[in-house]
Amino acid sequence: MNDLNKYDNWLTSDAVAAIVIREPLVPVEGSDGVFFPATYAAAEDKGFPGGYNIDPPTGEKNVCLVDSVGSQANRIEPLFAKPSYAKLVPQIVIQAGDKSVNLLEAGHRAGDAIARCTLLQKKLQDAFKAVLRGNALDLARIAPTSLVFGVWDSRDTQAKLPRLVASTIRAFDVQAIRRGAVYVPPLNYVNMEVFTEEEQQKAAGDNKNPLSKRGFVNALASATHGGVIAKGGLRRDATFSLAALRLLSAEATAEELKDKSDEERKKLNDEATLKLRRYVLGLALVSLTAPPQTYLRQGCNLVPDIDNPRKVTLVNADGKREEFKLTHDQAIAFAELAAKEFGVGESPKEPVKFDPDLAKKDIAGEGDVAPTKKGRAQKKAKPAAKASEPTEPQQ
Amino acid sequence: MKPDLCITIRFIQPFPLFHGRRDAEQPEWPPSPMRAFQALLNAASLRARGRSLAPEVRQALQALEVLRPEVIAPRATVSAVGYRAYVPHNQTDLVTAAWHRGNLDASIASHRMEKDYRPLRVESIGDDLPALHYVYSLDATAPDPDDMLRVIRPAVRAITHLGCGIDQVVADATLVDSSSIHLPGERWLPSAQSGRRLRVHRSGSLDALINRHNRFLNRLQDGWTPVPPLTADDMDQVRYRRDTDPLQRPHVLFKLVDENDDTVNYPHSQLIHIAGMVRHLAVELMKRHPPRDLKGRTTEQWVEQYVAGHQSVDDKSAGLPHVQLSYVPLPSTGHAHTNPAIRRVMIVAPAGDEAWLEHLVQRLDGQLLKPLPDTKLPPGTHLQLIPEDRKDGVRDAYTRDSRTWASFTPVILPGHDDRKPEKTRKLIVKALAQSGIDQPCEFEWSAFSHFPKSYSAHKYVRDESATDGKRRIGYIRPNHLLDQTAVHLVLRFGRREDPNDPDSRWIPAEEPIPGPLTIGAGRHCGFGLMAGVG
Repeated sequence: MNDLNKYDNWLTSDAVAAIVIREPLVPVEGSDGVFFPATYAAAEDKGFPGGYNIDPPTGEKNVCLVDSVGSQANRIEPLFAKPSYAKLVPQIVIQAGDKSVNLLEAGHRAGDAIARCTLLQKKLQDAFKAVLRGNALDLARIAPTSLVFGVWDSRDTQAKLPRLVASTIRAFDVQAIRRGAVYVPPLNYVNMEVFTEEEQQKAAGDNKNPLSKRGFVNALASATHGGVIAKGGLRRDATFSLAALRLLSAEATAEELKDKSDEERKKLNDEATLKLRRYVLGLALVSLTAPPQTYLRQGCNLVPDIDNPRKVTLVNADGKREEFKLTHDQAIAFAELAAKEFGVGESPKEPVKFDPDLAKKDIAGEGDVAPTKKGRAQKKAKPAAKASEPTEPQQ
Repeated sequence: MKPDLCITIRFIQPFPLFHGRRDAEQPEWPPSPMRAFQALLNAASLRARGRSLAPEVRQALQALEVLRPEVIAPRATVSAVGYRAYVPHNQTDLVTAAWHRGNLDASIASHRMEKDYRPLRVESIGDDLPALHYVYSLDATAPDPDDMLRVIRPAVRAITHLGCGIDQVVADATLVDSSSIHLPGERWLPSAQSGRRLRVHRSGSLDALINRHNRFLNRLQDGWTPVPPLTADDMDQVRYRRDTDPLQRPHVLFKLVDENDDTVNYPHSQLIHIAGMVRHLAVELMKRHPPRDLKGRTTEQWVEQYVAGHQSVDDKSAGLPHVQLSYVPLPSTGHAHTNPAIRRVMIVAPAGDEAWLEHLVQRLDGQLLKPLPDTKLPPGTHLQLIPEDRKDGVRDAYTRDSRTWASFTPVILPGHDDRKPEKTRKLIVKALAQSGIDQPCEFEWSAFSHFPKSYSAHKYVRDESATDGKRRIGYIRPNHLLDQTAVHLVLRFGRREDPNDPDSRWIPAEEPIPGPLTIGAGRHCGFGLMAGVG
């Protein structure tokens, strides 16, 4: 067994189902420090008035959502654009006007509409069609992180791949804190006859009044979100579904399969599948073990608890669990070997240009993609317009 | 006897949550057998790599789709609060086009949709992963259990999610001996009449799911063709209840119809007439056609005690429990202006006596009611069975699951309260115990019902013109219950956080109580009939 095939039993046998990480975190201020979890809008049923998601909202035994699965994925995926990781995946940058976006930052990954109006559109469409036929090789060459964090080509082929890696940060037994603040303008504008005292009184306490908005009058904020203290600790929970990874497969190229017997073809396809799975496994392990981003938002700097190191557990299909040692450096080393064997997809030398003509065609339903409802209506309307045009007299 | 197939699905998140919803966006627990079947089919299809399912896999899934599994699940509670997150629409092309035009202020943040979350928190014990078990009895299936396991296990082990995409799971399949199943968790069993409705696969579900998936993949082929969700033809809705949940008493409903098949309305103040006529009919029929197995009693004993409801003197003196059929005329209810006349009668049997009830029902259906000497019925009035699957609002009012119940007809207490509230309370407690209600609850009583169309619990009203200065009102009572106190009740099932502090926080019962509930000394003839109000 060498370094490259040391995890092959995870990729070929269905006995091991997942890897789970529990990683205690602490605020940089200390374990009793105040930090600011994410705030959420009020739920539709009004059962939640908006603010921190603390469940249950009263009492001491509660759980507070600090960073959700989606948010964590958006923080981890751009890791692969950093110089030390960039060679593991293709770097595709899309340019529109003065702005440029790395595909790793696109919300819907390879299925994002941003790629539909570039020359990548046809390549991605073919890759998704291949995914529907059970061949994820082409997609792995263009956007391998879509295989790690999941993708849905919702605007075209409907190909869908599940998320392999999910991470969430929660705080336990939190105490919510309120805070108040007051703003006093540096000058008395009434004395300076900018506005009258009557206007000042009218604006007081009215956030929508232009004088309040522009900071000409006193403003008071009371009982707003003041962060939380986690008495039961903070934890990042991350899972990696090996069962989902094993659903990925690849086919050898047509050239490789040419003039081969069925048995040889199967062998070549199995080899291609194993290489693909090793490559995606490497990326997933790097994502899973990467040091968590410490700065989540203003007032929320979380770092690993060095007194309470993280635990990595292998979970078998029958529910048995066993502890497993894996460092981030080991994950990177494996990922580099697997990427080299697989052959990382080519990164374009120049940014891929946004093509307005492709965008127009897409909107009109004329692109080489499934037409939209609007596009179909426009298509139907066109022949009628043509019919009204003068035609050549018949000979 | 063949072993059972057990599909076990474990949540792997260290803080396990479940985001699956049932109809009307309500949290679903336990995850329905149909949901598990869909996850299994999805895994099997992904393993097929875009090709059709292998014939043996298809055969195994077809064998499973006609079975109704038992579900063993950990406890789960709905999060006390939900929250709203915003997800960007897949419309970056619009934003990019704006950038291309020079509008650098365009942002994907303005193209987003809201998603409301309110997950279930799944209880785990220690470090064990919380596990769901779907146990399929293979006794009636053709495939050999070992072959079935060999074919189905790889697909089961390929299941990665159950519920939303963030509900990651691992799964496995095993064969278990049904007599030795000791799986931890709450046992949910299919139930004929009470419990939570869960979606369950049926014959044809497999093909329906495959067809729907193909339509989904092609929904953008010719414009956008939305794919509707699964219909009632594609799956069953089956009630599941925990083996520890209160058992619903078996019952059947008859409509009173005349010779023209028009519904008969009978005054609800005289409901005991209907109860008496139906009981008489039942006694006559069962004397002639008793069931085969009377559990050691003679026909005469069984009819006299169980059907007519007369406890023998020997049994009474020995303190033996008495069980009998109840004949409960149902006042119509529902809308505020509904005329509460009697149009239906329900026969309720003790729990576990479904077979005897079924035997009686088959013979009662279509039988003519014989008017009593002082009653009058339209010609040809007979009983017409209302099938269990037919929607009936009045039946639902009396039989649905509810945590709060109010009496429509007065509860006749087992004694007289001498106008002492403490004695009334004791009599109510006794009546509840006699009626088999042992779940923790609180009650309020009054002379007046929660239902405005119901009559009060009073027997008389002052009337100077009458010879004795009073006039009878309300519901006519059987003579042997005339001297006992009657009240209207509101029952709330649940408990106080501190049992000794009546002002401490009220915790409603975790599971609602299924009807029909009849309480008090007149419970076998239509008194003390409760309807769900919360």
